[in-house]
Amino acid sequence: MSRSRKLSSQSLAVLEALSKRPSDWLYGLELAKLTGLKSGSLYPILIRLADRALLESRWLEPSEQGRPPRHAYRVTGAGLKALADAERLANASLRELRT
Amino acid sequence: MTGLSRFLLRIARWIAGPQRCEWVDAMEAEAASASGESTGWAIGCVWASTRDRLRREWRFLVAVPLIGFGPLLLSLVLLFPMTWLWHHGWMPKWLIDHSVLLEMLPFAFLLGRGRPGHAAYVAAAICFAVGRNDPARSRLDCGRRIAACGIWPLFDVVHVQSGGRTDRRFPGLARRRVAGLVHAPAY
Repeated sequence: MSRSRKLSSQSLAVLEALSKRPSDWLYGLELAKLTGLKSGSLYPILIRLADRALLESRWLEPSEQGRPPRHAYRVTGAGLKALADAERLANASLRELRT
Repeated sequence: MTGLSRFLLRIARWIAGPQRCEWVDAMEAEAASASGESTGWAIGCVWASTRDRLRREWRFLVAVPLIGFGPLLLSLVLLFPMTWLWHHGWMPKWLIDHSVLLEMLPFAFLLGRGRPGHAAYVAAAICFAVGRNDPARSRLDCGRRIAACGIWPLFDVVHVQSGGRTDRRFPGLARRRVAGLVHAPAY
């Protein structure tokens, strides 16, 4: 059962990177470059997001021969919704601060 | 990928455990693709595995020292009735002295149920060491503690059961893991 805990800013950064290309499968290295996260931070986030079904993963055959298959990730509908909710909350907080 | 990276990824796999096997495979595949940066990537993988394992098992890690105080409390609870029985000559002194062997069994049982396998056995030993950590105690007590650790698997239990798989060495008996401290085939 997934818990509805608030997503961290780093998790949101990963979701945002994935949501920019929602139909593409992105590799861990690509995500690390896009978000600026190291592997030590990136993988716990990917595991958590996958546990909460906010992203889906699959193994893709490598483009070069002799390389192992790579794990790739794509945002799910629930992930897009979670990102939209987080943005809405952030905007509401900003509005409150301004008033 | 360098030899150091491979070594680090093996450590990451060991820390992550079989539940996260697929994720370590994923990290390893990326390390193979990260030409020139594979060592840095692998160090991160060790860190990621450690964080994930701690996140998954923090309750068990906290429970180990907390449960460790259980045998201590139980020995205090049992002290008065046992002393009373001894005082009236209904219990030999050696039984009181060696009651320490039995005090931790309920707690070893709890740990074993919570987390079966060798990890539970090690954790139970740590828990017992924490709970009985009394520097004023003699070497004899230390020896009893070690003996106590040794008898846990005997209590983790071969017992008679009508259904289930029978043991080859003892036909008619069925082995069943009760506390989970020792590895036994799953039924």
